Amino acid sequence: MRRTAFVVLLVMVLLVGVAPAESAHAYSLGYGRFNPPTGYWATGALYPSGWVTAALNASNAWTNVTYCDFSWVRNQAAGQAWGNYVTSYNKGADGRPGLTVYSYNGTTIYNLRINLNTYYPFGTTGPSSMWYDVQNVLTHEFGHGLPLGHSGDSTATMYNYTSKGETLKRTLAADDIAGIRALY
Amino acid sequence: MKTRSVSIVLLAVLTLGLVGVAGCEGPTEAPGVADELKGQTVVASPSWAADEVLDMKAMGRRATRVVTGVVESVGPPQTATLVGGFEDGITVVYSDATVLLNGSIKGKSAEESERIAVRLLGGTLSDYTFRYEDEAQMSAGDRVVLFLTDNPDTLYPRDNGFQYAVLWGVHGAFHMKGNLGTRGAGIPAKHRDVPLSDIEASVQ
Repeated sequence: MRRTAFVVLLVMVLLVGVAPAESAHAYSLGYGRFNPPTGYWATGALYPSGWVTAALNASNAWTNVTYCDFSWVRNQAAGQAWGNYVTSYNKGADGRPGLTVYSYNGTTIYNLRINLNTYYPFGTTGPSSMWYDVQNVLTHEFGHGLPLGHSGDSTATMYNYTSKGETLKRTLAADDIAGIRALY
Repeated sequence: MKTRSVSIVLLAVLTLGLVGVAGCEGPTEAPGVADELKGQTVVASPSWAADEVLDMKAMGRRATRVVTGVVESVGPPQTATLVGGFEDGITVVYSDATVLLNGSIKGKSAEESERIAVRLLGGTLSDYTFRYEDEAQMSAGDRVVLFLTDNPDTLYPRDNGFQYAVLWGVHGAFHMKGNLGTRGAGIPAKHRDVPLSDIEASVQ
């Protein structure tokens, strides 16, 4: 009887020990990583100047994560044809509000470009049902640049859907922080 | 003795088969991929506007055509290097799926035995990979309902036989099981399965 109870207890302890590891996060990792772990970004020629601060705040959300060796470093030099940069082009109604494209060879990312699709209304002055928040969308896109994939956690910055007026993604969720720490 | 003979024959057949397979499907130098791209991967990750892509009526309004059909084939990967705009210099890999239509829910009526080309981004060619996350997926034999656009995101090459792309990637492709349409796993569970009657109602 006592032996049976011990076995049951042992199984329960094992299950409790294993379960959190299975469900600890919803983030997904992209492919490759920056090496050395420092990225930089520059503004593209068409980038509206009023959005620069929002972009800086967005990149800083990731830079400010503690206990990981990564930072986005702003580089004001514009006009790079294929470096790391943020820009804005009108990609039309059937495009997407935000798009990140990065290249890697082996395991090393060597360039990154981020676009805000100006077909969509964007604004920088906080929540409004009239527009998509620049900082909100760019924090998500800078996360792709790390590179993180989409998260199944609807409260996470890396959740793949946004809407007008949303500013939730400006602030990283625990799941996003776990994601960048897993990379760097 | 008889068993040994059979084994030797089987071994010979297997060896010849493997040699034959290796000979047919070994690396080939397909045209269109520059040497400096080989070994590289490009990843494109979109974010989505929930009020559009998770709203069936918004999808119905935006689609050029909404059709029902069967995927006949998915063609071989091809490449194109894009010029101008955000995509300038990016080499994409794409395939064209051929879909035999059996009905139309929105837009031009499906003609008898009408086949359309649906361009799908992503693939690997000559050791160069282009990934387009959240793209629609389809295979030969799939019964589908497709929300189509003739003016997709500017990452899609518009030449070489382009007709349509799936509107908003994975959101516009329903794989039919009976009268239930199912979309890809990247979509939130509560939006993934949509009955055909709801799909039809979305374009009314």
